[in-house]
Amino acid sequence: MLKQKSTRTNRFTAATNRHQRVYVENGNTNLPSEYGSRLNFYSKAPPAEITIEEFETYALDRLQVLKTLETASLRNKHGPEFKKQVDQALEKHLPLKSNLSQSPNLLEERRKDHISHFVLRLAYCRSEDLRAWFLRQECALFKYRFEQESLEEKKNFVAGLNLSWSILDQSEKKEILDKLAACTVWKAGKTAQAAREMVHNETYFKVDFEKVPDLINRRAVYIAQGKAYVPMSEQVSIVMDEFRATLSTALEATSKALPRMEEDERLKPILLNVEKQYIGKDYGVSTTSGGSVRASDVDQLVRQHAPLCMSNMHTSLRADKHLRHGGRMQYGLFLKAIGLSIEEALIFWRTAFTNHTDDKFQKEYSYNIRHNYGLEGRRVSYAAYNCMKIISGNPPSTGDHHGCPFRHFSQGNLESKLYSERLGAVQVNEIMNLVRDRHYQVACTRYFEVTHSQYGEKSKIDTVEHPNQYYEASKRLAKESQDDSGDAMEVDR
Amino acid sequence: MTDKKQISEELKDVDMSIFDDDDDAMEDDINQVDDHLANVHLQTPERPSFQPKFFFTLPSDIYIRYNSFANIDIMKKEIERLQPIKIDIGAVYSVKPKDKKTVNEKVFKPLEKELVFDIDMTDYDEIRTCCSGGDICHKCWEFMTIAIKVIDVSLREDFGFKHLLWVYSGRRGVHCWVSDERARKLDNESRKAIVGFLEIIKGGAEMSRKVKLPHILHPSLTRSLEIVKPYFGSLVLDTQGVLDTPDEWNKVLDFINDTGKNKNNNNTWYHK
Repeated sequence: MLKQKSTRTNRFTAATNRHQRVYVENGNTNLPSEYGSRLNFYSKAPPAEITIEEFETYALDRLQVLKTLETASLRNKHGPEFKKQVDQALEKHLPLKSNLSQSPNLLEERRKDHISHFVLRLAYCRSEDLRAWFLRQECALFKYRFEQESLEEKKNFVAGLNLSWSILDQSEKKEILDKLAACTVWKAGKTAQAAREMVHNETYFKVDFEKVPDLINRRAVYIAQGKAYVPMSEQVSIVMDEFRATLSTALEATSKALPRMEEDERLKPILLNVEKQYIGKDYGVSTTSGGSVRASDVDQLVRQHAPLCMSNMHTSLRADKHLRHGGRMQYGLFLKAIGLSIEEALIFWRTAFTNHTDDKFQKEYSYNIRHNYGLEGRRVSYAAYNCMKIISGNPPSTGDHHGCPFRHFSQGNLESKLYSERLGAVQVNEIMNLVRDRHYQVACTRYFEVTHSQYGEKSKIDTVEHPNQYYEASKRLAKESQDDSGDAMEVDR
Repeated sequence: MTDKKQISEELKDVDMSIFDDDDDAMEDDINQVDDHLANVHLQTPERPSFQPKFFFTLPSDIYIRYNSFANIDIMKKEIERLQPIKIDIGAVYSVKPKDKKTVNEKVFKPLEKELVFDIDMTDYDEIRTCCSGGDICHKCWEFMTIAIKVIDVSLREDFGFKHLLWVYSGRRGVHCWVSDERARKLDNESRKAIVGFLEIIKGGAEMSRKVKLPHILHPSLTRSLEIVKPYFGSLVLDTQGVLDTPDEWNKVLDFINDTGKNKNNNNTWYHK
């Protein structure tokens, strides 16, 4: 079959000219329509009956995949190593071949994928933390699979979703061509001319801006009068947001229906078992540190055991006698997780904010501190932030000191900071190189090793994923060495 | 301090007049309020149980939360009775306050809330030379004017919002209340996205240069640039004098060179 240069306009452009939406027919007639693509929005529950064994095994297999996805993304966000690890896990536990492969097992694979997703929904809908974790991993999995599909498959799948996006017609596009081009310059190449050509050839969708928060946030698309003009190439973003929104709503609905479902005695133990498998330690809701840290201990404990992000905030707090909201949240929750009780926390913050009057402190800050401990408002005891959240969440702005130093400090400032912590040039350069390659957590782990070198081999810990993990590791090393040496010796850095 | 009082005087009428105790003018006031403020909810008969919540601060710091009123007369009477010194307007919740205690915490959720922007003069501390902290004056207030112009036009042209109310916050900044129905119903993701769209400052206290933009700007930024350009000479160079003293121009140099290299510039500036 010869490959010819197509002189036809693609179907979407043709439809645009006719002011129509495009619905595409599924080419593969061997599979039932709901499994026509290997992608799935999981909007409908699986129709089939399954055995209890399948119920459990499918769930655990999928969980393995989600676990691998989480760990792999923490260590290596985009590289080939990431792909290899995820592919391995998928091959082993949840294979899902594409339509092109013409494999005989397509239906079985898709059925398992469908069922396992729904079982995990039951297992992970119980609490907000569980739902958030599940949502994150499922979105990552969906994105991974979506990006691997061919353009044709993607188009078919999206069309099948009936998301009612309207296509931008040619005349309107002509009017705003320059504006659309200004938004794509970074992709099309440096010249304005190349950008305009790309825009001319690309299909654009006109959607409500609420549907594409990610694109709006990054200012990646042109918007006017509340409508966002999204090119086909950014489709992933729109699909992802739709997927997230659909799943998020479904999880909440499932959690409401859960009590009824658990009346079936066979399901409850399995669901609880699946849950226990893994979501990572959350240092919040079930903190066992028992509230033994006193306000007066904080200075020393933070100096000796806290990671750089927290010690930086502590220093700023002492210097300014104040810390802005982002810092109060990140640092405050960290302190809660190391064992600072609500009473001690109030004392700590009150004495730290020395320039404020009692009255002002009471009005403006004590409510929020109590809120963090679940004593006000929604009465939810918040979990301390993990590294992912700190690195990719609420970035610091003018006057803020929160965030991750390896991510948010300018290179010059980070270097100075490392030198001031008495690191040698070789070590500083090592860490700076990791930061330049955006391996922030690995840099932090290296920082831990370097600052705990007196413990030799024991200083080599797993990659830091949570500031409290860093703190606990540091404390543990100090305690072990204290036990070993037999006398009360705190190592001074 | 005089400047603060002056500004306060000028803007006093904008938000306080709706609480005037003049029965004849009540009709006019309601229409005015209807146009601008959250009270538009009180007028919709379809959902009588959904009312926005008001939070009163009384003298001697008594704070009363989650008040809601069936109509404007009841609200007026309650305000006259309590005489709060501060009133905050909250969201419309899924449950009436008197039922709040009987319902599971998780069901008590905000359904609608105006989109509110808060600009604080202290955010400009790094670039204003006349005041800092709680002080404001006519020199730095111009930054606020520019901010209002930029954000106002973006909310209207980019996002299509129509019902905007800009008010002096009472101390050192302004608030913008967007009360379009579409704005009230926005979820958290969309609100964060709007802020992300408007924001060009990235970086905390440890980052010197916080604005890094590509050569070809997004259309909204091109528009903002045109708004901001005319002020540069008069406000930044003349009034604020950012190149007048070594202390000040060194800050500017920090913006230009963040990597710690090329301190040669410093000497060149000085000689000029």
